[in-house]
Amino acid sequence: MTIKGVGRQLIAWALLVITVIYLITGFAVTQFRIFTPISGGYLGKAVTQQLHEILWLPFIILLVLHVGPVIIRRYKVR
Amino acid sequence: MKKSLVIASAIIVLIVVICIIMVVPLMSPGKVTDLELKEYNGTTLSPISLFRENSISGPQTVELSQYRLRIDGLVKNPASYTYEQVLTLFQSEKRLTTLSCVEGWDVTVLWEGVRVRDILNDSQLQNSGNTVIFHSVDGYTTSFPIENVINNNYLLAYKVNNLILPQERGYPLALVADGKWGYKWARWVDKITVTNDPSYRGYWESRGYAQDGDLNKSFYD
Repeated sequence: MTIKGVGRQLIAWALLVITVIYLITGFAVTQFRIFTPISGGYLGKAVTQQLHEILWLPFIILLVLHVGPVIIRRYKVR
Repeated sequence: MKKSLVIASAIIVLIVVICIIMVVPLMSPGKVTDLELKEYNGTTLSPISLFRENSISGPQTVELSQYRLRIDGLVKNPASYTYEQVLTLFQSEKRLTTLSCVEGWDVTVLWEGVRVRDILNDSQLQNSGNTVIFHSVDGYTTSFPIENVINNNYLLAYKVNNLILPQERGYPLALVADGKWGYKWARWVDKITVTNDPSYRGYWESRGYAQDGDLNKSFYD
């Protein structure tokens, strides 16, 4: 696999991880009564809310990096 | 190629369906009962059903015959009031104000209640007291500097939008703390303690939320 290919894979996996964390932290804010005990009390409402509010930037960056090259390539082919 | 396209499409459809299921109830305008006040002095009121339930242990059931509002700590005359006494001994006040939750939602409703200041004055504050702690029946607590409670005229509300406070909104008494984030608005209040410990931290304050809870500041510590 080329360096470009490895980079693409890394971005894709990072995006998947961030997306899952983003969903879970959002759920953890509104459903803290369920989530806080599940996390053993370590991931309380305040912590997960802070995480959730921070994650939008890496999410957008990774999404653009993931989708951008595909769109550009499509237009170039046409 | 075709297989992966089908899987990707299925995942996208699933995510969209989940999002719709979660978002639609939040977008509904909320039910307004016939008895609920819909407008006050030209301001449209939010329906009570727009409040979201986010208490620490779920809505509490308070038996009025057993209920007492206790005032203790650094006061000259510790007191214990029945619900009826709270409503008859202290002057009522109506207040149109907005509760803003750290989760991102807010409601503008008409509260009716008695001033906390009057209740504290009735018990005669000791000079050494500087902090007021509100206790709820579910073990929830939150605290304020004493001058905050007195100068901002906080209320212990017993009505919202002209209806007796519903169980999930804090029946029989809920704190109306103007200018503070929603987690400072204790519900099901059954005890007020005056202390000289300004470092006391309530339930959410000891779990990462700001001690002062001012609306114009971040709610994180």
